[in-house]
Amino acid sequence: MLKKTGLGAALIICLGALIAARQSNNAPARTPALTALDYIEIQQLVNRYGWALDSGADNGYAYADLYAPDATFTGTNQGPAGRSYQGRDRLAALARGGKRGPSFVSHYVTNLVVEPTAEGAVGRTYVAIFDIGNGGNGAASTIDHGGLYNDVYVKTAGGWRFKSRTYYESKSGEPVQPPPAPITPPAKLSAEPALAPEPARQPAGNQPRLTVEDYLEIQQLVSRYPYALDVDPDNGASYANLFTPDAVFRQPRTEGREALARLAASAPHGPMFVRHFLANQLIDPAPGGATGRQYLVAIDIGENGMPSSIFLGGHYEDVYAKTAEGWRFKTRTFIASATGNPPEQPAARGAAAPAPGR
Amino acid sequence: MFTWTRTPAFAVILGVAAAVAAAAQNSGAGPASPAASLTPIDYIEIRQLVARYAYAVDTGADNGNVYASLFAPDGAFLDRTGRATTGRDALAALARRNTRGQQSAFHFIMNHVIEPAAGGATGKEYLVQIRMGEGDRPNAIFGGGHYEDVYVKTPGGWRFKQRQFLPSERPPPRQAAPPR
Repeated sequence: MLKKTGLGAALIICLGALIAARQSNNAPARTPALTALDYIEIQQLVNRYGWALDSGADNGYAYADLYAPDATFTGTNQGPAGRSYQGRDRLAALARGGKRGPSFVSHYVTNLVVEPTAEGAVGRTYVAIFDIGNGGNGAASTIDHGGLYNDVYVKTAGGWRFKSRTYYESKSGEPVQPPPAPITPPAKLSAEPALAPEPARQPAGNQPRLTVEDYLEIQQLVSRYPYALDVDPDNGASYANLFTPDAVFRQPRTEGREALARLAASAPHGPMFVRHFLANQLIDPAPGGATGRQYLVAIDIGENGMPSSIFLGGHYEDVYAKTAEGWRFKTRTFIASATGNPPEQPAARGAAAPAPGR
Repeated sequence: MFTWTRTPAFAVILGVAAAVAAAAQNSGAGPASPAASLTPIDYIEIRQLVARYAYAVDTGADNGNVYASLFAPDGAFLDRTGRATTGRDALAALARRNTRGQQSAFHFIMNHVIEPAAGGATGKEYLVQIRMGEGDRPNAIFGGGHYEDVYVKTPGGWRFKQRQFLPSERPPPRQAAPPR
């Protein structure tokens, strides 16, 4: 009996040691990987922020609905200790009042870095808050302010949402306390989810959907646009080739690749010339293809110490078609920034709450 | 149109070996091998690398070492004249010289185009430098231009093999045309 007890105790000890060893090997707990689609959905959430805030769509609730129910926005620049806002109504109120409107653009967000965590993901972006033409009255455009966001994202039943977003006004010298999270060296991303074609999550009903590859290819199409317009020395050929043969650009209304090439060729070009900066890119599946939109700020960069100036700002509204050569613009319309309702109401920007895969 | 690949982990490892071999071949005078395709995760990781660059250079994090960690061991940053800064210590010193503080946002990078290339990938982006929150100085655009990058996939992930900044130069006046 004693022998049996001793053997049992030894087995339990061994088992305990084995479990402890396994736990030790597993420590620290492995952070779950994000799929390629997670990265894209978070990017779409982050890019939707400017649209929802600047438009004030849905009485501010398009902005509030970017957050999880218990989420907070904190402005560390608001008072000595900063100020936090929590709850749908309080967040919606942030997106009301002041300069707003379906064609108003101000918050340009870029430099998104996303990292997986055990609870979801964290991220950071830069934001430049422009005052384009003083709300459209023709005054000189300026940079109102800007800085950094530190984010925590959570995956809800409705898709990725902000769990918290904290704003830090850009400043040289010493940071506020506590400071923004320091950047760390890059880590290799997991390629685990890429074993089989990964479709975007199926929207409700029989709505069209886009794959991860579709999102990435459309993003690249849009990113090529400024180079074709500002840089490529080919008489507009590369610009025209971004469009379908029957595509229409507005304004001025320009139809077909030959006319599009002439349009681009008439704009200033140079191998080192940059002017069209795009941000806040959104892509949505649509019957027959996809739609999308981005903010544009056209900047005349000063050379040799001369001052720079903001030429104009606004947004593009696009329809994309998938052709044998890949995704192309079917229509692309530029709408200059203005507060209030524009004469010709574009699609209700920012009004839709983010959905999985959008 | 892109060519996409989807590969299990072991294939990724083989791909790294192949890319390294291709890069080694291309360092000689032989013909360039066909450009490898990139997976969606490759595109996302390269985008993250480029976004991370802004924070690393603006904040000089970890005494400039985060900036240096974005480059491959033989990676180089080239200034507008083509003068190269290479090596971990020199790159970290570059970031230390340029930092504006832990809460500064200066390098706004947009329009990122990525293309597969033999041995890795290439890319380009627009840069606008925005000076904000510097005492009594008004917020202003400091400058801008574009980057031209070469990326290489290392065992630790994608890194810059080369990055050059080229400041914007307005073309000679030809005709007045509105931006499109």
